[in-house]
Amino acid sequence: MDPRLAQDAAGLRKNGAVILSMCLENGIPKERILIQMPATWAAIEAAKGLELEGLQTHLVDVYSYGQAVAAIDSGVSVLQLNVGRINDWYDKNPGAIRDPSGPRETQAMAKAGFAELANPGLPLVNKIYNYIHHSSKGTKLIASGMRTKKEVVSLAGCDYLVVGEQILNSLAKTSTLEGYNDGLHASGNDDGMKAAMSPDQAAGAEVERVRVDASNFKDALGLIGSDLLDADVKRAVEDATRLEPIFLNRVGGQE
Amino acid sequence: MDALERFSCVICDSLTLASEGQRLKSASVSRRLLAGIMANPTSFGRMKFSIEQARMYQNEDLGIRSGFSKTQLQVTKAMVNVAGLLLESSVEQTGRVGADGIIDSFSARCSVLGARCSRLTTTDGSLRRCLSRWIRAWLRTRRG
Repeated sequence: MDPRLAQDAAGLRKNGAVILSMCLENGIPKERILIQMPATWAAIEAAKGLELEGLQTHLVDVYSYGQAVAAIDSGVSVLQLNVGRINDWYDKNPGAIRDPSGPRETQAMAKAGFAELANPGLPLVNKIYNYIHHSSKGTKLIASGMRTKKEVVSLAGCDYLVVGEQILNSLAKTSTLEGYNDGLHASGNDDGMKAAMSPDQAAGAEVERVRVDASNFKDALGLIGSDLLDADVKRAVEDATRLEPIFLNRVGGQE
Repeated sequence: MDALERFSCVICDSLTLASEGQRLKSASVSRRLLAGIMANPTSFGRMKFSIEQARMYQNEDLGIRSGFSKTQLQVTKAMVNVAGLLLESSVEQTGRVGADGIIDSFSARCSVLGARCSRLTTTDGSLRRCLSRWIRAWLRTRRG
């Protein structure tokens, strides 16, 4: 989608129709298209309409629980969180509380260098996964931006994990008990890794119910959501504005 | 990696030069990706050609209906052309192509593929477990 339309629901729907029309011209079937948009309120509203028309939508730049709930309730097909950017934001804003429901001592100890600062993006993925399984909307969840192997493994069970090439290579070289038979272990089911998320676990988990609409969406985004979503949209608009003259000049210059 | 793939579908986040000609699980086309393809002096020849083709795109009816400028339509067409090329040559049969986006990472893979992927790994794991059980039984028989 054209990021300049990120705050214009009607414009985004028109853009979706243009993409669909062009894809059909190129022989790309409707069911193989995912329309990607930043998770602004306008995009969430547009996604609802596009999904009803049979176009699948993929909302990115999700940084808060309320934002995710609004997107899931509108029936988006795919939701993507960037856990690395969430952690970066907390690193840049040390005054922000990483885990509002956890003990303050943990964060104080971590700040003092006696423990590792937890990435708040990881429990957020878990919380959203649980909500999806309680909502029966069928939304798929993607986690991206994991910076370490440990972060990737701690999200095992999430529908999709988008991982950097370096971590992928490192994971491929890491051995687990699976496939290794020393003749001393009786259990064939223990491979040393357990899913952090699963439909069974989600079914038993408590889910926080929030109601998000146009009037309270800004509050649902929170400080982190507003900051990062605005920055992402701004950067994409700059990209789009910069691309058009390059597209016209460079491609023309090669002819 | 095998153990992780039993629980989640793992997707690489970058399109490298080596990816050309390889089967990808999914692909997402963004304006930044277009700029990257155009700026690359040596690779992505077919994609560059498909972008050049988009510059000739004219559809007045679509322009009137959407209110988009000619350039906006041409850029969108360029992205759709690249998406089509990826779908035809690179993305797996059941994978999907994301049309535009703010991020330039590769994204979702369809649930059908996900289901198939988990079934395959489960079968693989079961086979391995079955084999190790058989070896343990054979060792016990020998010791006995």
